[in-house]
Amino acid sequence: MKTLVVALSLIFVIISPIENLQTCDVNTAKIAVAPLIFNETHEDAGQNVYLTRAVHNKLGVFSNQLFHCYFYYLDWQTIFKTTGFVALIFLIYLLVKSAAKNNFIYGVLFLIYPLIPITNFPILSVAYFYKLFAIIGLVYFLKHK
Amino acid sequence: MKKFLTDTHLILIIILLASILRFWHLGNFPPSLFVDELSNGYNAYSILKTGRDEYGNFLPLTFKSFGDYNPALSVYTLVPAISILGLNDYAVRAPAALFGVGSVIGVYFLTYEIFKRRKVALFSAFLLSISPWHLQFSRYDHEATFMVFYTTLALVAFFNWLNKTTRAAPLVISSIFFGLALNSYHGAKVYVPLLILVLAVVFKRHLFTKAQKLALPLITLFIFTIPYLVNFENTLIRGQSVGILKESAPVATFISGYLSHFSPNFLFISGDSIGRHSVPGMGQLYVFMLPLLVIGLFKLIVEKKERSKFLIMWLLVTPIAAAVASPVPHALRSLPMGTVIVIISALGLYSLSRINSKLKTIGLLILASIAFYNIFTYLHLYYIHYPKEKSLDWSYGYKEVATYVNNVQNNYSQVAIGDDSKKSYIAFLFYTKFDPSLYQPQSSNKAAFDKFEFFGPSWSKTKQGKALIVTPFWQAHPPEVLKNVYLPNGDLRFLISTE
Repeated sequence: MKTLVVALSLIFVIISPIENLQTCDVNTAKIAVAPLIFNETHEDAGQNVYLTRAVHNKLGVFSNQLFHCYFYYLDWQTIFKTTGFVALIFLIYLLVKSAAKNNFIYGVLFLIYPLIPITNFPILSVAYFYKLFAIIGLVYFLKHK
Repeated sequence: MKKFLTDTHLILIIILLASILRFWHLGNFPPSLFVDELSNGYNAYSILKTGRDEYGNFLPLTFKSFGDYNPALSVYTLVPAISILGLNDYAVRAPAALFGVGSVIGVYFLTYEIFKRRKVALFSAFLLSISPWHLQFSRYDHEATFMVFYTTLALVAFFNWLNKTTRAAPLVISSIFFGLALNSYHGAKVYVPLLILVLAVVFKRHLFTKAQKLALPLITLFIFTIPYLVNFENTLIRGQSVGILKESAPVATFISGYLSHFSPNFLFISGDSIGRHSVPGMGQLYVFMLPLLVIGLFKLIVEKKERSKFLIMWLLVTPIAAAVASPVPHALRSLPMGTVIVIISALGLYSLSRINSKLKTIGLLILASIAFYNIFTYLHLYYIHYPKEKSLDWSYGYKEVATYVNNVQNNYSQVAIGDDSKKSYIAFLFYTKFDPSLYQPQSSNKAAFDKFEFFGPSWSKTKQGKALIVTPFWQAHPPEVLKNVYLPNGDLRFLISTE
């Protein structure tokens, strides 16, 4: 029974269609900096320039944009849309169960991988990465449950 | 040697901080009362003066308001504030701020009851006192703030009972607070039963071995459902208008909406897209809380205790009420999530502070620096940028118009207001403090009262004498302009003109 569930889930994970992802990387972050800084500093007109610089600076806005991209690829909703519900469940299962056993390798990889599409690497790789993780989650389930 | 600052001193400092952040310039930030706040305020004023709502219903159990039949408790909560402070912006928001401070105190006791550690309780109270998510709704008269307060107290009483199960009284008190929460906000109809279910599942061992003691709390809880049962059809109206059942694929919409509440971008980077729910440029929470949340979650997963199961399941059910409606993610409907996250982050901070390593001091210093920068930036964005960027989301301009009109209306036989939302009548009732006993008999006509008339795309004169005409900036108006009303960013909002 368990093997059947795993086999069916595996089929779901593999055949579920991958939805298109937005492009969000270093370049889009760079492009966004100038207009954002202009808008923010425009509203601070008449204020102490050091205060304005402290809260609205290029480094801050750029890193905010980069975080936005990173979290876009790390988003549960993105994972659901690109890999499907079954994959999402087994991916979460893998992360929770491995963390409970003090095995951090999957957690660390899960946090590192979304950095790759930000650096102009093909975006779809992140979807395949999540699918791979879901398959490992299935194997984990088969071995440990 | 005695400690310089005891835990009592620290919690008092936190309460003071929470109060300053919630009560300071409450009437001016956010920049104006939103129409829902105006409606709650005028209905509370109407109850105070006549014992009836704007429609003339005697002490109603649900308020019709703009047709969404809100649970009554939040309006009744405003009555004492309005009777003391008068009908004004500050009085309408003061109860929310007070309940916000109350939630900070409640979370302190709740965290203490859960973990039995003062430090974790202090951390959680501090994090909630400065939380942008909680601050946003503590400075806005909305029912959800009251619901969070009551559920927090209900949980405090429940855990108090759990820790000393000999007395049934805390369980009855818990059910009273759950009942109050149920009558404070539409979303509570989904959230409160789910939270009670979580408690029943996680603590079934404690609850069902003392099943005979559950009768009184359950009867108490049932009594509080009576307002819903009496007004059953009306209480469904709001759910039907925002629910996802009308979507083409409701299950996928639900899953996607549910997951959107766990989006790191929603939580830490950009927040809710609705202007009243978050400050542009900020997430619902501070970035420095992210590592604390991850550490806290990890501790809970590893710990495998009942309290860990409860906190994780509580976190998982909080967005459900928001996910069955649209739009998503919705910071207001998922407001209790902010409280759970704060408690888990406090556990993370506590775990971090107990690490025995030289790196700990460096790590905590870096975290404190990021926290300081985050808080400073948030306050700057809230008090400088937010009023300029989002004043339209707060129905800005009506107060300025009503104040002007109040001063000159004796010179005119008619005041015509351009209004396509069909809700602006409430602003003029509120700011002119119009006698509710005069308004109630004619409340079915939302297009006019007294001298005031509200029109859509165009206005045609119906009365003899001089008329004062208020139009949005884009609408045609008579040539003699008496006053322009501007938004805080300098954009034109209304023109007041005469024939």
